[in-house]
Amino acid sequence: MTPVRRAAWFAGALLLAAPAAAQKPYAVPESPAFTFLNATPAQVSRPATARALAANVLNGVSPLTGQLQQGVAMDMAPWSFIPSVSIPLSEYQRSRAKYVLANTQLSLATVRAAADTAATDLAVGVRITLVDHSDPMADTGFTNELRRRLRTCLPDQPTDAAMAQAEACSREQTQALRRQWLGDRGHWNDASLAAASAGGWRFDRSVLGAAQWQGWAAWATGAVPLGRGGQAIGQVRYNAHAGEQDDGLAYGGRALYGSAVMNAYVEVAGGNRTGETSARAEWTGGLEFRAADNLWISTGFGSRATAAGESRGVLVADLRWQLADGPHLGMGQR
Amino acid sequence: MDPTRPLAVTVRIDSPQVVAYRLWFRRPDESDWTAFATGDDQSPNPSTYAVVPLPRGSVLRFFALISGNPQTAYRIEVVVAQGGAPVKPPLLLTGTTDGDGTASAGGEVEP
Repeated sequence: MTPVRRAAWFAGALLLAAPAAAQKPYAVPESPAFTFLNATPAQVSRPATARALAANVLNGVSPLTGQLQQGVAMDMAPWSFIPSVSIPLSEYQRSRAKYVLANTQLSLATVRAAADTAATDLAVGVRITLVDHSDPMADTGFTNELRRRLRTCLPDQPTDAAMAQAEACSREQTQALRRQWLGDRGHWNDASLAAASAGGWRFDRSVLGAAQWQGWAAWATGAVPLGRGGQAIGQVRYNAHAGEQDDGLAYGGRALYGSAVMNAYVEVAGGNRTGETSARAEWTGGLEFRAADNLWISTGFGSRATAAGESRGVLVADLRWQLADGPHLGMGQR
Repeated sequence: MDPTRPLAVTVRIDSPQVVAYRLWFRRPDESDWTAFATGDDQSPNPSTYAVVPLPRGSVLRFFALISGNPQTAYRIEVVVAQGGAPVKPPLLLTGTTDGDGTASAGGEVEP
């Protein structure tokens, strides 16, 4: 599970654990530019060569008026635009610098400005994975087995039908081995560290020369294993997004330890943001019990900030949907 | 291309995925393809494979299965050469893996 997927699981858990007013999306976004603009593009282009990138950029500007087009969404790996840069798997597994370079993603997006339909908001972002021990591609044991399986999928004849069958075989083998690696082999809680940042501009009348800086945001998340049955995750977000209510620092942390059917957990969340009356951290601790597949009952106690900025104790009784292949799945298959 | 001399096909993998590939040729009067090389990302990079002399009108085909992390860029280059000089521009196969982390890439060269 990548830090992003783990963070998404954690963010989802937090969202469901906390009251609506205290929902705090701390996950490091996969595409920071989209998150910065609060956009969920239906279609994301992923250029893999400099030529494809140039074509995408040109498509983002109207050839008739020179204005920015709204609805552009791109996600790309910058190393792939440089023909002289090569990161074969052997170097990905051996060189930390090449690992980080391969896992550095740029994103770019444009959307219609909320307050002015003629204006366009544009954001660019970068996401860097510094460490991810839950990345199966960094494990030679995983890749050796995957390679062996892929070779068995290769077709004898390069006909359309045989190649389609080979692709299906490859997908099936990849999914099965990945599930096995993350679950059975206990990698779900491995250490990871990732960071992301994004900044944006507003273009009045969508004209390229009329850009106004809109601010920036940054995210970081790290996770460490707690033995084989636990995990601690910390996340930080700083928002300097041109006077929004949630400008400032926000942080969250969660530690859990348990089995396939029960976990003990502690969560803490806090920050120092413009729109909040209290800078005190809120915390919750308790137990989670599996009620059904992907559904957990959570109970415990903690503290919450009141509107007056004071802390008060609360009892917690929640349902939590598990959004992705997270800790509970992993422990269930040990 | 000189049909009396052997060809060499060089495969170079530039991206961090597991790649398994196979190469075939087909002479103009044949209906079936003949596989002449199978390799993967653990083969020497780049890997060069010799091909017997082929008559004009023959076709070389490359097909690769790619598996890595989801939505990651891949780049594979295939060069067909004779006597050390490329007989055609390189076949550059680029793209990104899908949400499952898989992709396939292939192409033909008529040397």
